[in-house]
Amino acid sequence: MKKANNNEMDLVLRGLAKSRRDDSSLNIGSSSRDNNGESETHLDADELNSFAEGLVPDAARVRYVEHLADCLNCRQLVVSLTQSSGILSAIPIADKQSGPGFWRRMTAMFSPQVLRYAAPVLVLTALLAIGLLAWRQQRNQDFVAQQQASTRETYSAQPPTIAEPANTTGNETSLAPQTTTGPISRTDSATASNNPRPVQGEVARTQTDTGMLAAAPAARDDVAAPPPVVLEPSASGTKPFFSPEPKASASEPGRTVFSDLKKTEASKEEQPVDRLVVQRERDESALKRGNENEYQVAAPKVGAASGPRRAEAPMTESRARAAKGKKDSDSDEVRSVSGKRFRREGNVWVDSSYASSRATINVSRGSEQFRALVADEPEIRAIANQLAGEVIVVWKGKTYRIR
Amino acid sequence: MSQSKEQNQKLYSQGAARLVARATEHYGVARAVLEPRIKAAVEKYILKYDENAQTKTLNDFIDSLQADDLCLIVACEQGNQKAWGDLVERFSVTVRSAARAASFNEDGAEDLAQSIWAELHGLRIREDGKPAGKLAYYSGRGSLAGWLRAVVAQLAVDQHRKSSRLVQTEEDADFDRILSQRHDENSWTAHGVVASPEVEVSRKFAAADMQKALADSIGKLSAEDRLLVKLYYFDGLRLKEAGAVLGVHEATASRRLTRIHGDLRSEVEKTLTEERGWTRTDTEDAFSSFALHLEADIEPLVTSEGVLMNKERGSPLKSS
Repeated sequence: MKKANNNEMDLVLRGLAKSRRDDSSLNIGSSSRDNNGESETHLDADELNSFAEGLVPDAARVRYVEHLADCLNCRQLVVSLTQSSGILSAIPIADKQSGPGFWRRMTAMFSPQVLRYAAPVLVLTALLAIGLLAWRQQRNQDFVAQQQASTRETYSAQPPTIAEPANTTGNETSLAPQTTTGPISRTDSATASNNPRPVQGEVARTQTDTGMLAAAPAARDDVAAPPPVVLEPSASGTKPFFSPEPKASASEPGRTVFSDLKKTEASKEEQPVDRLVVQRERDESALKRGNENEYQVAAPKVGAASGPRRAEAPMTESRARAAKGKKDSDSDEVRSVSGKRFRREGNVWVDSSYASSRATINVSRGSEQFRALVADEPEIRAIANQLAGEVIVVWKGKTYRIR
Repeated sequence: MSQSKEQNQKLYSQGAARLVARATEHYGVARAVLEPRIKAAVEKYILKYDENAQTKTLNDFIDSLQADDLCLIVACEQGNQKAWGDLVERFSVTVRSAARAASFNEDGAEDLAQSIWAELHGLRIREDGKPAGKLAYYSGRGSLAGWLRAVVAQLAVDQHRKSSRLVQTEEDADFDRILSQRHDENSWTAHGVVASPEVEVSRKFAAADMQKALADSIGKLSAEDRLLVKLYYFDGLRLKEAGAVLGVHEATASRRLTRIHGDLRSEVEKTLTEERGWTRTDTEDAFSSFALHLEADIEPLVTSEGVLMNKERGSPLKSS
């Protein structure tokens, strides 16, 4: 209804303007003044220009606006000056009159209209963030589990001097690390359950995969859990909310849950994992040399923390190589004109001092505005001549986009 | 805290020193020469409207003056040939561009551009023996290029007025008036609708009432709102252009215009009901009717006579 009223008023105003546009003797909306402002002094060139450039102090501006509202001549001059001064596209959206006070802004921010949409968006964002976090945690677990599997296979070749029986209770099995005299010291299940040293991001896993239980009995007996992972006993029954769901009822002590798929993937990645193991051994021996006393404490953390990092190393290298290659190719797309550096982004030459947050003034090549600009700033002409296509140049605090 | 004259003078002196220091090329302009220019600018833009302006306000104003441009203009005024050379070299293209924009043809633009330099220099001689040119009126508040464009535009308007007075004949004026009257008569009637004489007369009375009420309501708007209405409806600017004149984004201008529509409608309805004795239904019908007529002017094919007459039924066009 209100919108319809506004449309009607819009049409009525258009009609009034249409009927009066050519008839300058009529005095629309300026009851006490001459329409052409003859009764009072016109604005001079300095005032007109200052107004067009938005540089008039507030008190003076009020008087100028009053005059302009009633004086067609001055208004036309101001309009033409505004258009030629190039500030047409440089007006920010948030002008000063739309939000004068802090409380007004705050009130507007928390108004029911805004909250109506903002609340679901916030909830959705929070859910997405939690989901992302859980997913990342799960990825870390999977990665550590893969490392565990490969390490176990490596260690199984060495005969352990002490092999504790697995602490198996029905289907539920503790994941407590077992102590051996192998290359890495391990804590027994009691120690692990009494003095757990959980590494951040790692969770207890319940061995439920029957297939794995049947497939790796020897490994269960002979090879203890790998050092990097200190696992809480599943008997505690506590499980983080983001831990993966068990797949089957069977369980296996000393092993992490792996699905068949994961096992296939682990075998596929045998080569990289072997490299990781070698690297890990290198790290561990270095650590041993450096701090033999603290090794037992440090080893799990080092292993757990460095695993993913090491896996990322080849990726990081390739990324760096790609970035370097990109940089090399980019260096061909950088040019210096009139003391300013421009880099090419697509079809646009962008000033190196340009920040995307700044408002730009759009200027078309060949337009009146362009001619005026290059007339005032000959360096911009040189830039526009030497750089074909679209150019974004920052000049005297203003940003121009020359198309 | 208000400033005494002595304090203000000291402020101008210090401001002139800062301004000379800021200028990349001051052309040897003395501080003392700049002081009266700064004083004139401060009085024109600040003290004229606020005699008790604070020191900070005055200092901020002085420090925002265009140092390079002001020194160049003052040097030109002092007769510095190098400054004149620089002025012409740097701004001749701007002046020509502004002259082309303000003129109807290339010859006129060239004449206008040439006459600008004479106007700037001044053809008359002041009491102190120096030429009385327009250079004396540049305050340094806005850019020199913008000021030159404004001078060119004003000169073009003056020249156009002079030539119009010489060229326009009485017959032309009469013809314009007739055209205007015909246009006026047609603009508030339905396009292509032949109404009965009674309806036509009553509609004209109603239209006259509404026009007057609307014009009065526009006059009661604040200066900013009135300027926006004039720029958008009467000068035919786009919202973006009108917003730029007012220094606001077009989205803001659009919001303001929507609010103005509501204000105007309320004011017109109030005027018509209180002063003309219309009922609320009458005013609503009148708005719908006029809006429909004007829409019919724009889209004549959409509107049929029957629909139009039905819409008019019960409106003040018939009842009054």
